[in-house]
Amino acid sequence: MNAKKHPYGILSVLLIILVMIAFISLGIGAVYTSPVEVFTNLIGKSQSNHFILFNYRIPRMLLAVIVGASLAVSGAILQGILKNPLASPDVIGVTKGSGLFAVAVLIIFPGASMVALPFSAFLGAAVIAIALMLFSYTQSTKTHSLALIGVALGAICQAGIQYFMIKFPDNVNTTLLWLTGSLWGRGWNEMWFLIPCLILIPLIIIFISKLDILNLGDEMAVGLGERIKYVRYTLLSISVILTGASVAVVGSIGFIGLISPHIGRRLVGSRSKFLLPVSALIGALFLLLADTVGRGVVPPIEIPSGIVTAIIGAPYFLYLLRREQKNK
Amino acid sequence: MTKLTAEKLSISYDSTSIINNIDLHIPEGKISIIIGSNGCGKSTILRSLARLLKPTQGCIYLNGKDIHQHSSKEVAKQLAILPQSPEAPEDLTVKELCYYGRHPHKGLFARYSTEDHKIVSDALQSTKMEHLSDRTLDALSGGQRQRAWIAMALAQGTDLLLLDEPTTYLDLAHQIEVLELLRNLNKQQNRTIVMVLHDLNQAARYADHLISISSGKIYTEGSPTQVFTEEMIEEVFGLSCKIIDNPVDHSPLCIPTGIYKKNFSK
Amino acid sequence: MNKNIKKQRARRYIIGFISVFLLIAGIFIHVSVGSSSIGITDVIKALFQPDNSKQTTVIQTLRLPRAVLAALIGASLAVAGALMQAITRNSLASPQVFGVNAGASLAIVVATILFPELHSKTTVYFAFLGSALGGITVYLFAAGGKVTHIKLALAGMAVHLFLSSLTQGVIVLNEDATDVLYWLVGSINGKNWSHVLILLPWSVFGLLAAFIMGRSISILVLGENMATGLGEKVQWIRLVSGVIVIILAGSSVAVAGPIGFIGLMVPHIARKLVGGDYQRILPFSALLGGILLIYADILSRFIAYPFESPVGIVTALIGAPFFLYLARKGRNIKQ
Repeated sequence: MNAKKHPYGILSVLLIILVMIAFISLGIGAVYTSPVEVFTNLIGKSQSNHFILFNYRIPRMLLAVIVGASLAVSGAILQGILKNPLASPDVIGVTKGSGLFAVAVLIIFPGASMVALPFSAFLGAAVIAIALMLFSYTQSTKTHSLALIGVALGAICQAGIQYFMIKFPDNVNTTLLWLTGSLWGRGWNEMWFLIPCLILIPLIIIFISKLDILNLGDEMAVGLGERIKYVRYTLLSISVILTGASVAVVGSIGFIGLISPHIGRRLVGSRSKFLLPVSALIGALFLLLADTVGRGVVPPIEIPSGIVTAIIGAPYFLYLLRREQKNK
Repeated sequence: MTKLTAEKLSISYDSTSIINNIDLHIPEGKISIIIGSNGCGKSTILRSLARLLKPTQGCIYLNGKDIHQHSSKEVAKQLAILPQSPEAPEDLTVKELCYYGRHPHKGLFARYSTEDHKIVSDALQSTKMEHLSDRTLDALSGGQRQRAWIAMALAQGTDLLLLDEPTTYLDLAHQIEVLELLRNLNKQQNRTIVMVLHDLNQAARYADHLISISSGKIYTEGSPTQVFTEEMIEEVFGLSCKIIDNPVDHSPLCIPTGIYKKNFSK
Repeated sequence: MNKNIKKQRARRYIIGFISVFLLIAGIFIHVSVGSSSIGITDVIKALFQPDNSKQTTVIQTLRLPRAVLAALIGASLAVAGALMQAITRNSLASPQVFGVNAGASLAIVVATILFPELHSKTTVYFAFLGSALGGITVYLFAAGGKVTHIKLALAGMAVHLFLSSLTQGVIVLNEDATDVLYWLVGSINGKNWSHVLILLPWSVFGLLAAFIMGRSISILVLGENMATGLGEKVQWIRLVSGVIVIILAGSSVAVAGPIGFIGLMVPHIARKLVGGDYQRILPFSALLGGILLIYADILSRFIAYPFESPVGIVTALIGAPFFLYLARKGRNIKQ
C-alpha cells in the first residue's frame, strides 16, 4: 500500500536496476566478459572484446529492453481497454496473427526471410486488429465482444499455424524456434523494425489520460466528452503496432504483456500515468533477464527467451490465479 | 443558463418503441425529477437528454442547437451526467476523481492550472468532502462515494447536472444526505438538476418540477402538488393510495392502500 | 397446450431420426471416400459379406476403424462439452477453452519424451493426469464469485497459452519430438482398430455415466441453491461430472490429439434443437458430435486434395467462426 504513494521512487529504483542488469548482461554469453572489461570497452579505453560487445551484445541488450517495454505497454493498454486483467496481446490473438503471417512467409518464401519477415509479422497483427474492429463494429466495441472475438481469431490463427507446420515439415524446427520467441542472432539490423515503437511514444503519452477516463465506464467517459470508439480504436492500434514490431523482431514470445502490467499495478496502482512507464520498465527487465539467463545458464547453448519467460511466467500466473480466487 | 429541450423525441430499440413522441422542456434553475414505473423509459429519457443515446426520431436541443451536432466535449462543458452505476478503479482517491471532472476543459497536454485547482477545491467544499479528499473510493461509505461522484460532476463546471437514480443503492440516511446536497447545490449555486428517482415520496418532496412517465409518454408534468394525485399514482403505478400533506414540509405524501383493481398493464 | 407438447415431441422424434440417418450415411460416405473411392454397394458388400478382396481389407482395416473412431471421439468430446457448460453455467465452456486439451497434450508430450518405450495404452493415463491438471487450474479460477464469459474465455486462453508454450518449449529443446507436432493438431489419420480398442471402454463408460447423470444435471442448471433445495448433492454431482469430463476428453486426446471446438459447438446446437432438458441434450449431443466429426473428417480429405489434413484444422475452421458468432450474440449468451 505504501509503495503506491511513491511512484516516482519506484520508477527510479526500477530504472537503476535495469541499468545494472543491462550492464551485467553485456558480460554474459559464450565468452564471459567481466564487468570491468565491459566498462573499459564502453568508454573506449580497451578493444579487447570490442567486436562481441558492439556487434552482438549491445544491440541484443537494447532490443530486449525495447521489445520488453513495448510488449508490456501493449499489454497494459489492452488490459485498460478491455477492463480485464487477463487481457494481453497473446491472449487476444494479436501475437498469433503476427505469428501466422510470419510463419507463412518463412515457409513459402524461405529466401525472402530477412526482409519480408518483419513486415509480415506486422501485417498479421494489423489484420487481426482490423478484423477485431470490423467484427465488433455493430456492438459499439463493447469490451466483452472485443475480448471474445480476439480469442476466437487467435484460435483460427493457431489452426493456420499448425496447418503450415504440418504441410511443410522440413521447416518445423526453425518455425517452432521462431514461434517460441528468441533473441538469438538478432542485432543492429533488427533495430529498424522497432522504430515505430519509438515514434509512438509521444502519442502514448497523450493518450494516457484518455485511458484513465475510459476506466470510469463508457457512459461516464462520454459524459466527460470523450469519443470512446475513437479512443479505443486508437489505443488498440497502438497496441497492435507495438506488438507487431516486437513479434517481428523476437517471434511470438509470451507472458510479458500479461504479467508486467500486473506487477506494475501492484507497485503503483492503476493510474495510467504511472502504470504505463512502470510496466514498460518491468517488461524490459523481464525480457532482459530471460535472455541473459537463457544465455548464461548452460553456455554455449542458448535457451530461447520464450521458454524462460514461460517458465518464470507460468508459476507467477498460477499465483495470480490463486490471489484472484482469494480476493473473491 | 443552459437550455435543454426535447422535441418529438422517439426512441426504439430492436423495433420495440420505448419513448413515443415526447416534448420536454427542462426548467432552468430548478430541480426536475422524472418518475414512472419500471421499464417505462425514464432512464432512457435522461440518457438521451445527456446525448448518451441517439434518438430514433425527433431531436434534443442544447441551447437551441441539436445536441448531436455539438462535439461531445462541448456538451461536457455544458452538461454533466452521473450514470447509474459508475465504475472506478478502487485505488482512486476522491481528489483524483474530482480532477477527471476538468477533463473536458483540458487540451491534449493536460496540465492543471490554478483555476482548475480552485474549481476542484470548491467542488470538494460544496460536497463537504475536503477532509476525505485523500481517501480511496473503496474506503468510503455509499453516501460518501456518491458525494465524491457529485463533486466530480461539479468540477465539470456546468449549469446542468443530470443524475440517473443517484440514491438507488444507498440506505435511507445516505439517500437523504445526497438529496439534501443536491437541493443545496440548486438553491445556493443555481444549478439546474434533472434526475430519475425511484422513490415517489422523495421525488414529491425534493422536486420543483415533477414529470411522470407512462408507457413511453409523459403522463403529466408540473409542480408536485399539481402532478402528485391519487389518479396519477393509480394510472402510472397501478397502485391505489391516499395522498396527504406531509406534516414536516407540507409536500404531498403518498400512502398506499392496496393494489389497483383493474388489470395493470404497461 | 397439449397440441404444443405433441408438436414438440413429434419434432424431436423427427430430429432424432434424421440424426441417426445422417450418422449412418456419414459412416458409409466416410468409408467410401478417400484416395481411392469405393462405391457404396461395394461398401455394403464389404461390411455384410466380407471376402478377401483388397477392397474389403482396405475397408475393414483402415477405413471402418477410422469412421468408428471419428464417431466415438465426436460423441465423447460433445458430451464432455455439454457437461462442462452445464456445470459451470457458462456456454463457452469446453475441453479446449478449459485447458483440458492443452493439459493432456503437455502430459503426453512429456511422457513420450521421458518414456519413449511407452505403450499407447498407458499414455492414456498420462493424458488423464494432464487433462485433470489443466481443467482444475481453469476451474479454480472459474468457480468462485462472479464469472463472466470473458473471464472464462480469457482464463482458459491464458492457461492454454501457458501449457502450450511449455509443450512447444519441450519440443524445441528435444529434437526427436518433432513427429509429435502432427499429433498436436488433432488427427484421426492412420488410426486402426487397436486405437478403437483403447478408446472404446473409456468412451462407453463415460458416455453411459453421463447419460445416467442427465436428470441431476438438469436440476443443477437451475442454480446451486435451487438444486440443494430439491435434494441434490451439488458438490458430488460436480465432482462426478468433472471425472466423467476428464475421462471422455482425456481418452480422446490420448488417442487422437487435441481436437477442438466440437465440445463448444455441439451443445449449443443440441440445446437449440431439443430444448433444455439434459436427459435429452446429453444423448443428442453424443449423436450430433459423432455426426459432426465424421463429416469434418470427410472434409479433411478434400481441403488439401490429394493430401489429407488433420481433422483438428477443419474443426477449427468451422468452429472459430461459430465462436465468433456466439461472441457477437452478446447478452444472449446466458443459458
